[in-house]
Amino acid sequence: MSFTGKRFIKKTACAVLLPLVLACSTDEFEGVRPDERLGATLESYEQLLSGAQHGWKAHLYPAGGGGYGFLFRFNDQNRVTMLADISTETGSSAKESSYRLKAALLPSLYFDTYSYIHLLADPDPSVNGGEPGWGRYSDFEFAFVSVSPDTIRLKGNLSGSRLELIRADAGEAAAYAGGNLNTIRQQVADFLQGSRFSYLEDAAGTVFSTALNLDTKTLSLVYDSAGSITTKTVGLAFSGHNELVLSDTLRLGRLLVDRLRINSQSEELEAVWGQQSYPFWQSDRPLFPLIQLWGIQYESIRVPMEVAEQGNGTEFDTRRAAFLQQARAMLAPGTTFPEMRLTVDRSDELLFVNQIIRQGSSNFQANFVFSYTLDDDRFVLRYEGPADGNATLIEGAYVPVLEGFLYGGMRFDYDLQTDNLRAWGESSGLPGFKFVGTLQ
Amino acid sequence: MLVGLGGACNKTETLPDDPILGLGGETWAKGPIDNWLEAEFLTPYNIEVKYKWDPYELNYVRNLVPIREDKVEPVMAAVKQIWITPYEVVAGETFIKTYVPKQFVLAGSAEYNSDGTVVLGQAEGGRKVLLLRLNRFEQSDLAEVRQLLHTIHHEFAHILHQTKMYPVDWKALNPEWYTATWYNNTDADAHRQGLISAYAKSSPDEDFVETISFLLVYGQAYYDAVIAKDDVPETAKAILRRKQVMVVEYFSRNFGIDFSALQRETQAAIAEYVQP
Repeated sequence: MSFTGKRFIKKTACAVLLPLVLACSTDEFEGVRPDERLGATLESYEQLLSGAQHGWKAHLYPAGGGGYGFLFRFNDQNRVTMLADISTETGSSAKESSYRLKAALLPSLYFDTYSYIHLLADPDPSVNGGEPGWGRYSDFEFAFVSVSPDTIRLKGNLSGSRLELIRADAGEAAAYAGGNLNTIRQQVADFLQGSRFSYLEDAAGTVFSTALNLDTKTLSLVYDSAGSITTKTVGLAFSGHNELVLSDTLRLGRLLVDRLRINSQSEELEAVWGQQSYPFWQSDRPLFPLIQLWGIQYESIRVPMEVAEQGNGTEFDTRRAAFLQQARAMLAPGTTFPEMRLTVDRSDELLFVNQIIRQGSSNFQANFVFSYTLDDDRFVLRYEGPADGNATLIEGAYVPVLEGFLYGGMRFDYDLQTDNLRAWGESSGLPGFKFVGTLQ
Repeated sequence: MLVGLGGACNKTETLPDDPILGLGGETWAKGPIDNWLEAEFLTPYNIEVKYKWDPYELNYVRNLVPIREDKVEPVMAAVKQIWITPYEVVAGETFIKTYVPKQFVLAGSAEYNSDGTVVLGQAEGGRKVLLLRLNRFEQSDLAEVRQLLHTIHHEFAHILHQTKMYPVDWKALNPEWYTATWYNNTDADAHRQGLISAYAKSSPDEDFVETISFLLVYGQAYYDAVIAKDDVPETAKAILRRKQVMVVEYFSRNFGIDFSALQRETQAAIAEYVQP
């Protein structure tokens, strides 16, 4: 491009004059002001929420884990009624409270008086469990993340929980009103009753042992990933007629699942992705050895101490009786010692023996610590000592039991003799030192 | 040229007429609760009662939950009958309308501190009072009613001493027992040291308002019973008596209030409120 002195002067003159002209320009601002746009956005969200004739199916995934299903019906008077899959009561009797849309950092939906959704966030553990001060790390004020006529995604402003709303149809609304959230719970409970070792299998034949927990509203999959046992846990929100929607899509091996469904014909539980479904298979044997699942899928072996459990060895029962006699003499009359709980910490290679002490309605714990090394399938143990004041107090009386663990290593495995899922531990060097307890 | 510019800029500008969002407070469709609060508090006393969730009125980094709608009326009825009315009867309408905090903020749960303590209420600058853990409130439960009113009388006493300071002598009565870790003490520990509650140990200000609140809500009988306890040494008994005298003088001198009459009215109001 050519450049001439004349044009340069002209441009400079323009540059000087232009600001003056603009500064004095009296043209009114013609766009839409931010407050107006924000107000219109909130108004449109409110109309969308209250305009859904049959309400919204909602799936809430608290930051603290798990998943919860709701049906929300918003009206144009800042009122909302809801059903929730938190308890039998919340699943059957609709509760009305208030909501409003607020211009917080992002346009937000506030459930602004107490209702079922607040149970999950209640900081008082006596209300719905969880951490003091935090409950289940859930939310009841949410920012809009994405909005379409049928699907709204929101994110909790305090804890970052996820909430998705999906427009319900007439049939679904009727099902919720008829108590289907409780029906789904019952059907899942029935399924669990009849299944001890359930699993999913992908097209490549990889097996995923499943554990479905109705208290924590989670599904855990345990599988062998390149030689190491791995767990994946997702939240479950009850939804629609017969679905349990996962917090995250499972993509494991060739398994692809985003929801579970109770098959309307067979009433069997199945895992689903689009048109594809995977049945839950049942095994009468566990899929992985106990020592691989202990501390991952199963937390503790709980051995009754006040009675001789079926399957116990005589050496263990003798030592148990010796402990009971000494301990009862030491503590207040009426004190009982209902359970010995064995847990493992796999990363630190520790085994904890937790003796429960009951006085009246209070339970106290006495924790003893062993370190271990695994010799093939044997836990070779070394006693590290008592971990708390209660353990220090009863250590002397507990010696017969503790000492039994120290002869040549302990083996642990499932006990499939009874209907309850039990497990046993047995000393390889002290004949008869064998105990049996429930597996939890 | 100057004239021209001046003329061009002289044109009157019109301000945008769309209002700033949320200016003047949020609005929502009014329901029975809103109408009741307006009739009972806003119109007669110019008190705004915020019961709908607003994190910015609370400690927004902590996790609290809103109040249950069915608790709003019982709670605020207790506030009116057991706190406003006794002051109105004894001190007169002008007093209460002058010093009353202009905003009440209600929440369903307590605020949980990381040290394990919980906050049940708070007063800010004589203007705003937070009342927390209200979802546990039951009209028939004397302990709960006292707990709530204890909080309110406590916070209102802060407003009073922020307006008219109590005598500095108060701070010299037992300075050795004030501590930031008051929560490691029980009320019984505090009694033996000449303080009415463990929380009174946190500072002279808290000591002053706890003394007032206990004298009003738990009554003279409770206060006398603390003084009469066997394990409370004579020095502590004397301090507790001295504190009561100072409270009575404070109310009389600064506000012309007969404190004994206020105690009687408050006790009668509690009894009437909780009766089935």
